[in-house]
Amino acid sequence: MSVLRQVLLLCLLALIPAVATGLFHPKRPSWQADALKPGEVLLSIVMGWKEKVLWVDARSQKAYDQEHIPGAVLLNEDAWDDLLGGVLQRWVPGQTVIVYCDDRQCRSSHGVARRLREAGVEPVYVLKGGWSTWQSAKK
Amino acid sequence: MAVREKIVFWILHVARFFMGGLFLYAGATKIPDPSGFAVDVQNYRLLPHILTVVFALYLPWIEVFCGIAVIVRRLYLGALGILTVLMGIFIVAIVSAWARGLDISCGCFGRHGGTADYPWLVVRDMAILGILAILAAWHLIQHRGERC
Repeated sequence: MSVLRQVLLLCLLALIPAVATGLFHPKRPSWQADALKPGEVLLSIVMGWKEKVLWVDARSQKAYDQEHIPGAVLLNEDAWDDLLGGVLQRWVPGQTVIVYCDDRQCRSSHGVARRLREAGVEPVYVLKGGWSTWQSAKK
Repeated sequence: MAVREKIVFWILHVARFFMGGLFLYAGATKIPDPSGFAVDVQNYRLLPHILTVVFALYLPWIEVFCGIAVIVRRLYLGALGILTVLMGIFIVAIVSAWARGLDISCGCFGRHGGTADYPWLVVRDMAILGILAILAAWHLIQHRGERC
């Protein structure tokens, strides 16, 4: 069998479970780009809130040092134990916490938000679009 | 078979099993959470959303089938060809993310690990690309004169 036919056959074989995954997998991705995931909030919504929220930057120390949302405190999973104390010092019980990171559909911010909730911090939201959304909104 | 040839023979067989197992594992770790993998792909900011979803659904299975093909040595050159092209794409994506200063997770083996260590990822993927090329060359040398 020629190499091209082998390639086509492998692609076809993989296509069958891929289609099944897209149709039936409980964790299949959404085809809609702007669907909010549980716990996410839009920047436009946060900007409309009258209360003073606590911004938590879930990016790396380097990215945080370069620039961050004014007043944001650094808390990432790589240095969780060292940084959590700083966040808890700044957080007033009942104050809304918004976690963000660099990515458009941020992953690390969801992890940080989950761990914050486990530590008793509520309410915690993840900023949809993260840092890039904040930067876009500034322009 | 001379001792040196035997050693080369076994090294390449081990490399083949390792490569097959590596891609089988890489695909298998992504299959339980296609949504999470789609987020990792999205974070590279290279594809429109719809293609990101297609990629996230399709790539893990391609890796699994190619990994199996490499291990059992069926559809072998086709699998090596696909994996070589994929590694090229991965390297370009990683270098591109590195150049843009993105603070992202690699997404290479499911949802494990923290932020991408770009130099290490590039070196690792180049090494994998090299091994895949050597395996393809070895197969072609062994089957010189035959049809694939």
